[in-house]
Amino acid sequence: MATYWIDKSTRAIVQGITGKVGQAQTHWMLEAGTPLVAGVTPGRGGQVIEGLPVFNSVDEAVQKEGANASAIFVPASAAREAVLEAIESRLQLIVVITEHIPMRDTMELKARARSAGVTVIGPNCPGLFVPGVGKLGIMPASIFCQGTPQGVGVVGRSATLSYEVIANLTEAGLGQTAAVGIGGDPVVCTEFVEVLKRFEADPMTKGVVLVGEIGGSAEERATSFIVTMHKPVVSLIAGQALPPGRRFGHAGAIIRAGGGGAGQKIKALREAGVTIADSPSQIPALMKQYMVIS
Amino acid sequence: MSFRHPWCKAAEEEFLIISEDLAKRLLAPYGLLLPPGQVAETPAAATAIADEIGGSSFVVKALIPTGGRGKAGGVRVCRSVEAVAEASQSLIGHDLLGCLVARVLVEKAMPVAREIYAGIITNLATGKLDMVLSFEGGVDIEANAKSEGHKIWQLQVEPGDVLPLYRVIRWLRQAKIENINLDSLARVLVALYRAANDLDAMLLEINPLAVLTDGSLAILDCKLEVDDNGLPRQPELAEIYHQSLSPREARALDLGVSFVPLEGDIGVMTSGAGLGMCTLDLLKQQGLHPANFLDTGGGISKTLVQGALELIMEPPQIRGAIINLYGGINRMLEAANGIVAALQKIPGRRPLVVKILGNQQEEAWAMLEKLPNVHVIRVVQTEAAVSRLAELVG
Repeated sequence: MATYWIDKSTRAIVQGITGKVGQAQTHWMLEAGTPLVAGVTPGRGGQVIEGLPVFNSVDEAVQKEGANASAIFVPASAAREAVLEAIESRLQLIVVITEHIPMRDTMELKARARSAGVTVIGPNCPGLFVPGVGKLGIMPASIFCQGTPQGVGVVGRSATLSYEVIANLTEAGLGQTAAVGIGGDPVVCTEFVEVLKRFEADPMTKGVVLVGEIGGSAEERATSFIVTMHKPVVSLIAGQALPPGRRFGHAGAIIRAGGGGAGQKIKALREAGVTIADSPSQIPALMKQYMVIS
Repeated sequence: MSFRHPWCKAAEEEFLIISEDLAKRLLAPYGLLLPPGQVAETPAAATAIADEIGGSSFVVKALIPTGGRGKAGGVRVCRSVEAVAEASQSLIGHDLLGCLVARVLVEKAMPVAREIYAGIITNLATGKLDMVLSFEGGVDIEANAKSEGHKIWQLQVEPGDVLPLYRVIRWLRQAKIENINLDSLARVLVALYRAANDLDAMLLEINPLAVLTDGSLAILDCKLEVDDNGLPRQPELAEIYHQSLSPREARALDLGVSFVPLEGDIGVMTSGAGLGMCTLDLLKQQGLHPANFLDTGGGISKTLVQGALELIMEPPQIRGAIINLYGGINRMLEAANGIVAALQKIPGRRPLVVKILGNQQEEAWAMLEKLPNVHVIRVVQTEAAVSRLAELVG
């Protein structure tokens, strides 16, 4: 199994390849060397986009091209259908770039993926980038440092803030082993922990950057695994200066146990041994201070 | 208006609060017992509604989008039509918990034997739905839940599940409920679950769910919060939501940007919520006060950038602004053209610091560097842009 879900033997498809964004991003994914084999848009089978055959269904892409992974660029209203189709066609990895998917749908997809044993990353995420392999998603290749076998793993909720962090690392001469955007929605299908486990297990990854932000408790949930990690973790939490949100009323607040503020996240991360950066540009220096290159 | 506007796209508190009258109207098709009632905007209208309802016992409720209303005096039990007039008079046009009361809901008072709490709650930590029940309902549910000996019953439901009645009944049997018809309660809970699913509800709380003297169950109060991503398939809510927006918020929505006005005097435009929040943090670290949060989202075009820049520069107190964009595949020349077009319309010489990275960045920088009062930052670090702005606005 690939260290970061995809490798050169992956056979990935693009669902929504005929859309404006899907088509443009397919071009850039191919440019980054990604092993793409086909596109899928129901009703548009037979076309060729960016040199890739377009099929009407994921099943067809599996039968004819041996597809086993997908990047999804369909509109929010079609996303539930597209992801369910990919799950039922038994793809191993599904990366959902689409934003504005209703939470109800995301929760259902998360439950279905879990019971099918399929990894779904996202939604509302930039996807993943693995230098030397390619990308499923929209992260710009230009910010990455290519060709360094050892490096830093980056995982974040926000796309563009993660880009700024990666660009800072690259500028400071720190390469990356992989970057994964888990998505900005309150419920995401793959959590921090599942990505952190892969960084911890990969001998080429020497340190980890966790890009978090206010809202929810994803960062706090990650700490139970972080305390067991042997690699340095540096984190940036965006939204520290923002005014506090309205509290959740009544039982909602009780069940969800409140929270979501930056202070509480930073405290939990520090207690788990994480170094907190106040700005993206501090991250490379902090990382160099703690990481051990062999 | 019935909605509180989301203040920040990426935060947990982004859900839309539906006012009680509308929430009850939305629940009506699910076969639930709701007190007869209507909304009034004047004491005279409230009196007329009470006359129409008939009887001698009414409840007048201030329609404000916040909790704690009962304790703050926003719910009045009235024993006559005259009392309805008085209660409406003292509520309409007055402030309650920081909200102006524009409307009241006048309802028939129901003969309550007992009050319980029922909720369908989206649990963001587990990604599942929690059906929650407490037999000590009423205004003090929060305090009760924290104290010893007050059991909160919770049933976890898998998202997408069709919740069958038997499972709810089996769950309720464990709770050893006395003096409530278990079957009726289960039917109410299943109806609430279906409504929550259909309405894209993040939270549907019935507090109190009243057991009436004849044993039937009535929805006395109702709190509904809806996922704004669900609005495209909730046309009625979407329309009301659009009507509730301020002109600036409506413009932002039309542009397709996420916009939140704040208190300060520095305009901000960023691509991406996380980068936006981080930019606000860095401004604060430099002693600057942002006047807004604005996330362009992924699709950067000339029209979008022009409209967004006009929007953030509009308040007269704005002393300067920062534009912080990561284009990805978007052509940054488009963004530069949008800035040029907006600056032709924006009066004054307030400094604008621009950091844009992405496809065609060099061409964009060259175009923008020719403009007066525009300061292009060619490095990766947002701090550099923020420091520059701090120098320029003093």
